[in-house]
Order: sequence, then C-alpha cells, then structure tokens
Amino acid sequence: MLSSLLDTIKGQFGSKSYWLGCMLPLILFLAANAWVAYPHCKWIATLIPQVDAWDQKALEYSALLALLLAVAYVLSTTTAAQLSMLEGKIGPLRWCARFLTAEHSRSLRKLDRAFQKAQANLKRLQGTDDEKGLSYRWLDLLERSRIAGQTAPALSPIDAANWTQSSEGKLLSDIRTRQDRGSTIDPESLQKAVSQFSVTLATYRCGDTGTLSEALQSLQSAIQYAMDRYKFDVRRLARLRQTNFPGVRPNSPDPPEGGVSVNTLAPTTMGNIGRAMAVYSLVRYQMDLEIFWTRLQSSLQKDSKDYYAVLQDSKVQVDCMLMMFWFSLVFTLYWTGALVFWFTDGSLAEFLTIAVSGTAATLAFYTLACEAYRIFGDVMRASVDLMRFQLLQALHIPLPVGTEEEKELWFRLGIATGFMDPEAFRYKHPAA
Amino acid sequence: MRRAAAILWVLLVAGGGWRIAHRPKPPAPAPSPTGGCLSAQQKKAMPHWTAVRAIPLNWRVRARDLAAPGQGQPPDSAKLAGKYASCPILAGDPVVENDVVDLPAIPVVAGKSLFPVPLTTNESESLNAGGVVTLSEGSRELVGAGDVAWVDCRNGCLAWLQLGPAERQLLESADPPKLTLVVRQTGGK
Repeated sequence: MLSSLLDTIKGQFGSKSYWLGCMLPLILFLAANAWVAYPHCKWIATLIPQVDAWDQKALEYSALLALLLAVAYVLSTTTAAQLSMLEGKIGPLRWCARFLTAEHSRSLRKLDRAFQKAQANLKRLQGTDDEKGLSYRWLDLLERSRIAGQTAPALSPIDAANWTQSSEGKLLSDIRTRQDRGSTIDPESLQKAVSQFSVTLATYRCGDTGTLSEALQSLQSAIQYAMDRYKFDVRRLARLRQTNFPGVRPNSPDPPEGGVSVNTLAPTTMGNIGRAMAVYSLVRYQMDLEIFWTRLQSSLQKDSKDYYAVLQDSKVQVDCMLMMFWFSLVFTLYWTGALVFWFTDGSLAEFLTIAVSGTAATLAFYTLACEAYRIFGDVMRASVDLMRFQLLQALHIPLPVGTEEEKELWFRLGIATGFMDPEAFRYKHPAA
Repeated sequence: MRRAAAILWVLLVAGGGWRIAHRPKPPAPAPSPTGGCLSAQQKKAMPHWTAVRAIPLNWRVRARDLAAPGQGQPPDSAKLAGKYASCPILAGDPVVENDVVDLPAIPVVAGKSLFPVPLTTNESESLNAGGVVTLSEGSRELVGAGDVAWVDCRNGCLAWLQLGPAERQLLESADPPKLTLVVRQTGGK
C-alpha cells in the first residue's frame, strides 16, 4: 500500500504536468512576491549574505526544498477543483450564476443572430440550385451593360474626375476600402452600386483601361469578395458556436431529438467551453463523456500512445495557465491590500503599478487558460471521433453499422453504465 | 455583472490610491543644529582633520576615522571624537568642529520607533549608524535585520535600533540577558 503510494508520488514528481503545471507557476509566484516585498521587508536582504553559509545549513534548506516540492504536489492535486471553480461548478462563481449566465446568454444570442445573418446573406449572394444568386445576376448585368456601352463615347478626363467625386464614385470607393480592410460588404450596398454603375457603363464606353475599367474590376472583385467573406463568416461563427457554447444553433438542419442535459449555459466562459466539449459527443453520437471519458482515456493509452501524449500536453497547458491565473489573482489582491493597509512605506506609483499590471496579468492568464482549454477541447473531440470504436471493442460490444445505430448503442450503453438501468447487450469476443 | 465587477475594482483601486496619496508624510529630517553644512573648500581654510573614510549622518566619530592633514595644525581631536556627524563627509574631505554635534538628530520613520540594545566594548567599536544587526533569544530570532539609528556611548554603549511595532513587542517580552546580538553590517560604506 505504502510502496504503491510512494510510486504514485515518485511518478507525479517526474511528470511534465507537475513541473510545468505547478512548480513553475509556484516559483514564479514566490519570485514575484519576493521582488515586491524586498523594499518593505529588510530581512529578505539578510538571506542573501547567508547564501555563502548554505553548506552549513544543508538540513534547513533541504527541508525548505522538500516543503516547496510538497506544496507544489498539493497544488497539483487541486487543479481539478480549480478548473471546476472557474467553470462555475463550485465556489463563488456558482453563487453568482444567475447574473453571470445572463451575459453569456446575450452573447450567444448575438452570435446566433450574426450566424443567421451571414448565412442568409451568403444564400442571397450564392443562390440555390433552383435560383441563381445575386452575385451571378450582378456580374451578368455589369457585363451586359459594358457591352451595351461599347459604342458609346468614353468619359473625358474632366468627366472622369467628376465621376470619381460623385456619390456613385464614392460608393464604389467605399466598397473598395471595406474590401481592403477585410470588412464585410452588405448586399444592399452592392445592389445600389451595381444599379448605379450599370447605367454609367451603358452610357459611356468602358475600354480596357481608365477610371471606369478600374471601377468595374473593383466592383467585380468586391462581389466575389463579399461572397467569400460571408462563407468565411459562416464557418468562423459556426466554429465559435461549437467550441465556446453548449447546445446547437437554433436553425440547425439536424437538431437532436429530445432534450440534451448539458445544453444549458454555464456562468463562465470556461464553463461553457467545458460544456461544449460534452455536447459535441452527446449530440453527434449520444455518447456521454461524463460516463465514458475515463474509459476512452484507457483506450487511448493502450491503442494510441502518441495521441494520448498530445492530449496530456494540452492538459498541462491548461493546468499551467490555470495556476498562473490563480497566483496572479492572489498576488494582485494581496499586494494592493497590503500596500494600502500594511506597508505604509509603499508609494502610489508602486501601488498603481501592481494594481494595473496585476489586473492585466490576471485577465491575460484567464484568456490564455480559456484558449488552452479550447485547444484541449479540440484534441478531446478528435479523440472521441477517432477512438470511440476502439472503446466499443474494448468493451466487447459489436460495432454499429450506421450512425443511427451508433447513437442508439451509446445511449443504451450510457444509461446501463452511468445510471444502472437494465439493458441487454450481445457481446462480441475477440477470437482467441 | 462583469461591468459591475470592473467598476467596483476600479473604485477600490482609486480608493486605495487616494488613501496612499493622502497618507501623512514622514517628517523631514531635523535640520542640523549647526545651521547648515560647509563645503569642503570652506572647511579647508579652517583648522581641520581629514576623514579617512566616508562619514554618514549621525556617525559616531572615532579617532581612527580621522587623519592629520598634510599641512596646518588640526584642532584638538577630543572636540571631534565621540561626537556625531551632523553633515555627511566624503572620504578625504576635511572634518571641522562644525561637522559634529554632541547628540544626533534622528529622523522620525513612519511606523517605527527607537529601541536601545546594550553593546559590548567590541561591538561598540565596530558598530555605528547605518549598521544592521540580528537579535535572537536562544535559537529564536527576534529581529532579522535591525537598522542602527545611532550608537550612544554616554553611559555605557547602546545601539538605538529603528524597529517596527511587532519587533519592538518581541524584544520587550524577551529576557535581556538571553539576547544575542550579531552584527550583520557595521555601518557606513
């Protein structure tokens, strides 16, 4: 019993998770505190001359090192609790869930509206199988207008200059600027520009060079760009929705049947990223990660060691950023309070530097922790996609033949494993 | 909610900053009783000794800190030795009677007060203003780094330490014969 415990501790001390996820943040935290405390606590200065006498105090310093290792070890065991706290599952964020969730709900509605708008605009520009889109019709109209104006007189230099300054010229210039800046171009602006410019093209000869020719090329390019941009937005927003929020978008073509337990929003960004991971497997395969994640990890360790290492690395990044977040939060709160109430020799500049840089660091580490958690979520989703059949094989369950059968199988397995409901399965044992 | 938390934090920081900005400033060091310090050029024209080392403010001047000048008759060394520097003096600069006073003017440091600690002869010879000492009672360290404000040898030798309230309380509750003093820095540069 004791030897296995010692093996566990030894294994933990040698792991990347321990050193990068706990020891490194702890050392940085202690160094930052010593740096700030140095001008206020002169006893810190007396430690430096004592470095020469370290060999005489080997026992004390060994004990100190052991304490540091032990503190880091204890911290490493609390990462799950820290994550739960930031996800709003426990602690003060859960108590404020009512207020915090409302903000995420608003963000989600905004995201859904932006997605629907981008999708609708893309559909208008692109058209359907039955009806040609606006972009095709605009390009066609511009081409026909250009041909119609081939026999007409060309714009004189003075007229060309006046046209550039006209509302039509300014509208085209505005569209070009939006394209150059990478912004979206709404179909209404393009419609207006095409309507006005097609008349000009039919009235004056365009030619291969000159003001009108350049304007025509810009407008054709902008029409194509607007379509590309909406396509990009649709994919970007769908991905944002999938990685940052649980549930499926309201106009999803294939919504899950019945309710999905984890579709409700969490009070924090981190919580929503966590729930989005669970929703992914639940909606696609009816596979409940709360039940099957540990079992899936076992399959990963056995059948795909390299991929398991990638998963572990991404988890280490999450742990490291989480620890840095908590440490910077404690550092900022402690020192802003201590400089006001305790260390009366602290200056205003020092106080403001710590308050501002500490707050910025705390926010930055939270953002980085969320980003690392998103990456972890991506890796986790991929491991579900790649390894779910290996898990079924490990459980000696026959593989399903289609997607619907798979959903039903995972659902039944979930309720049998996680909720102890009686379900009958036929096993398929590997040939001996 | 997020905006409310941000506003609350900004208000707290602003409040803390206001409190620090309006904190009572420590009083400026007392002016020199001799009414200002003379320049090295001015002092060279007067009967003087030469400082063999830099002498900071409130330094208890000892005979070994002074050397006879190359030319001219120095004043009686008894008028300088055992007194306290009221003006900082660089090594090699002249030292005149105007540079010393009978008792030092110790600046008031916010949150600290003076506490006397008896010195042995050896300690009083080595320790001076600006020194740092450690005080322990048995194996328990009471003061890690006590700043020596001045050394008083009028009636036996005492080191007056600038201490915070916690350190002072520890020393007051300690048994004086069991106190051990270790000189970390003797003072000066």
